[in-house]
Amino acid sequence: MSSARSLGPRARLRSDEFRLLRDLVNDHAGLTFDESALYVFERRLAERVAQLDLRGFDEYYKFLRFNVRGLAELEEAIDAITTKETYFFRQDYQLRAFCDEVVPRIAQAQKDSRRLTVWSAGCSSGEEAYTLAILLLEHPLLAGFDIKVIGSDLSRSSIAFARRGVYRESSFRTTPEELRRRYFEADGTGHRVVDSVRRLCHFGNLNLLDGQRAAVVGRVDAVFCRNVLIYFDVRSRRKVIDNLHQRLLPGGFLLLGHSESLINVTTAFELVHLREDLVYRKPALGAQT
Amino acid sequence: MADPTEDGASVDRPLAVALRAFDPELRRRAVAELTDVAVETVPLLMQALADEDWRVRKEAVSAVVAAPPIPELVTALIGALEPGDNVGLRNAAVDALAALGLESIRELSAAMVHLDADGRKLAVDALARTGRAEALVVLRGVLDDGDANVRMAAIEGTSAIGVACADKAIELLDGCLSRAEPVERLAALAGLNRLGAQLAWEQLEPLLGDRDLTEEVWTALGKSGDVRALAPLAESLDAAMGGRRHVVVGALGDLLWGADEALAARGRELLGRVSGEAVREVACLVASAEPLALRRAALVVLGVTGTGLGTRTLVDALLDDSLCADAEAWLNLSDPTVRDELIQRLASGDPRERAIAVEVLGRRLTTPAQDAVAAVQRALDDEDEGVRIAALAALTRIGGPASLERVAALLDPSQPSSLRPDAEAALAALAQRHPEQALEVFARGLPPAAGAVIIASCPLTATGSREGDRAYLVLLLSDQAAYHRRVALDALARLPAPGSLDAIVFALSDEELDVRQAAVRALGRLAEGAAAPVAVSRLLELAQPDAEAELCTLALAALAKVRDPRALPALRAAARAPRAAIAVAAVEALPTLADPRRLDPLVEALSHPEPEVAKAALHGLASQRDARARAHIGACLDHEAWDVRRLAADLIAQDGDPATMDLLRSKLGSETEPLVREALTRALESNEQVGGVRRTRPPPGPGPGR
Ligand SMILES: C[S@@+](CC[C@H](N)C(=O)[O-])C[C@H]1O[C@@H](n2cnc3c(N)ncnc32)[C@H](O)[C@@H]1O
Repeated sequence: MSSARSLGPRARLRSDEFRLLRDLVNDHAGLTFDESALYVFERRLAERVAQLDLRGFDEYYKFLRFNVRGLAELEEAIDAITTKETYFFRQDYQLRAFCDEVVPRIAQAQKDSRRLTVWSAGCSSGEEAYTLAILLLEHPLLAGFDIKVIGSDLSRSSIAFARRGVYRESSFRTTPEELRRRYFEADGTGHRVVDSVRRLCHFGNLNLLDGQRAAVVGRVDAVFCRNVLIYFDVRSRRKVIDNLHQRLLPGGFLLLGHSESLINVTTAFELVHLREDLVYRKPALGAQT
Repeated sequence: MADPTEDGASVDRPLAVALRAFDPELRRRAVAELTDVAVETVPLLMQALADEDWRVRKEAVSAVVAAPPIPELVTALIGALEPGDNVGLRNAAVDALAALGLESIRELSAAMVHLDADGRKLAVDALARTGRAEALVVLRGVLDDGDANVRMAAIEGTSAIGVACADKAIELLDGCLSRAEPVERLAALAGLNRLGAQLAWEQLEPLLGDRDLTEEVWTALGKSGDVRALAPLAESLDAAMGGRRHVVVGALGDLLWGADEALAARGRELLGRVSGEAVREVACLVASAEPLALRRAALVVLGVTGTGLGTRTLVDALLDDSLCADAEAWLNLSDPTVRDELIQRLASGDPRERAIAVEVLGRRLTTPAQDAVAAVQRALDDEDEGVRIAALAALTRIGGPASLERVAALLDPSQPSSLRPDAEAALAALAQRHPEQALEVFARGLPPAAGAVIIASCPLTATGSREGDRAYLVLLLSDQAAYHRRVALDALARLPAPGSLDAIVFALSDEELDVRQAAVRALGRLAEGAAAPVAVSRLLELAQPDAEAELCTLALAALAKVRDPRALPALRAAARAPRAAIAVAAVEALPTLADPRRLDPLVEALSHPEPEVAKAALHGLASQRDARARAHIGACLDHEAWDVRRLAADLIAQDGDPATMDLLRSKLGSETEPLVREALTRALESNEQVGGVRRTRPPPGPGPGR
């Protein structure tokens, strides 16, 4: 029966239904969509409607709200509609700035504990986290440091993928050949991150809007939250940034994507002008007003 | 006897007339309609008891029993035992006197002086059938009666009453064993056996040559519990035939059933010598005898003979649900032929037989026997999963260092996940027993999960340092296989190193529920130990009623086990949660809490709108064995939900507090729901049964040294 239904024509999404779904997604994950996203919703969610053997999007909406499995399904839906595009060594100028000017400051601050923790918040399939691990592993100032990279994402499937650590060619579009040779090994149809890098990385499933759950990350020296906030409305951005702020150690750094800024979001961070980039910093203890 | 109907005004006229009716059914009905028996009606009742038709007599006995106490009636009944030729009347009088019980005992005792031998015998019968201990005193006086029939009746009567007061009856019967009359000795010994008396060897030995008593002596030897009883029984096993041999088997079974090692050893020695013919017949009894007790006895005897046939029969019996417990108890696994027989069954075509053989080897082997351990280890390759699981359970007990690597290999992710729990348990036990060898295997490289299990269970550090062990596990926490992350968490929780907290907390963000749950369990363990306050804080966050239900319930259970003042308020809040799953988890956790104030939230939970929560609270209160808790359980007999009321009744029944019985009785008057009424009745009945039959000896348990 269900197969007969899924073979039928795709469910159509009316604009009122779209708005209901969109608000639900926004409420849960902070993501915001304009009217043009209707077709993305329809295309990507029609399959879920068919799989659940529902008659249409009105039923799907009810399922999301009232079924016991509703929350899990909402996360599936969000997984289906979010942009998860990412690759290794993305925004290389920012990474250079991080290595040349941010890491030395952190290394100095942590010279006694010899620990350094970086969080890739919204890491998608993990490329960003592994990139950071490679850079930190390579960094001359960090020899003998206990390095930890945390990668987290709302999408469970992305986290499972990140743990596997096996990547296709498209992830390597901007990876320096030399690093690729040293830190990846052939594995079936893809390339697998070597153990010395994997060892530093820890992945978890977190909603950045949920400050309490995010506490499991502990306190970190730097957060990379790149190409995540652009999909959020202002209210959700504030909430996420507030949560990130709480996780940062005093004097810790926040690095956003190239089109993202904290303008109109918060004044809790100070702006740090580096040679190649602008980054944010949580004021160090005693520096706060 | 004068016609009672001529006796004038005091007589019940209609009954008198009806008793003269020709149709016995009319006479019976007239007696049945007699409602108030009084002194005046006694003659008529006696007339009915003397009726030629048995149905009328029977009705009259019922009327006597229903009548109020009337001394004249008892006197008249005893009068009927005087010489006379109405047999029907005499038997009916005995029936009636027996049914009157206590009321007739004293009169019967007094009548013994003037009754003739026949009358005394009838009086003894009546006394015996009262079934009352008070009658025993009277019987004692008649045990030495001048008339042989009266003496016999007294002996038999004593053993019949003995069911209610064994000690006293046994003492009386004991005294009769030296009687001159063989039938009296026989009746006394049969009575003693029936009452389960344990006679001393010294008492039985002189009776061994008494041909009239042979079978009862065998039975008594079986109950004696004396090692010296074995020799005559073993000898008789060879000599006796047919049904007599069954008696010997039953007695030997009785003797050997709860035997200690000395008795069992002597049994092996003596029964090892019985003829092949006897052994074969005993084997036949195991297969098909009736009743079951005889089959079990035969099985025990056969097990003790230690013959090949005996061993095979015992092993076969392992497959028989009604015999398997005895069979297992009597298999002597230190005997290599027994082990061989079991090992051979591992090649059987029936997977159940293979699994049972493995299980028994695992359970019963006390000294490590290489042949058996190797055979069990080979069973890890069995095509049947049940057999493989049984083999793992067996290796948990008996596996040696050689099993370490083989069991560890089962924890490789490529192996079927269904074996993992048993393989983990087996490996943990092996690493505990053989720590040095476990470390060697660890050093040679292992599936990661096996490494984690060894780290968690081996008393030595596997990597050379505690920090190294921890690092191994933390690394495994980032593994792509959820199974590895789960095992790593379980292992981390067992490490005394408090540095694991961060890693465990981060695992709460795992994408797999299984792993998150393991993280909560691990936190629970830390919360009981070194990192208590911080771990408790985490658990408190997870225990919020709006948290993920699966984790919340685990966190609540963990909180109940910690000694932290914050636990009680958290559990209390969760017990009020509208989500029943959360509230039930909190209520179920509360009784384990050490805090004495745990009673309050349990009581509060009785008013939760969801009956399941109230029921969980009832169970919790019942486990507290506390007067206040009892009062609240009682109050729930008025709860609005019928299933809560029913549970309250059931719990009150289990508690068996006589003080609550009045309450139950009064509720029975007002309760309308049939299922609750049923429970209330059950509760009342079960309370009335307390203080029933008294046993002189505990019933025997199977097997030597049990
Ligand atoms: C475009 S990817 C960015 C990947 C990576 N940071 C980069 O710059 O290449 C955006 C990711 O944010 C995740 N995301 C969206 N909403 C989120 C939320 N509320 N909490 C956590 N992650 C979220 C999505 O699942 C997606 O994987």
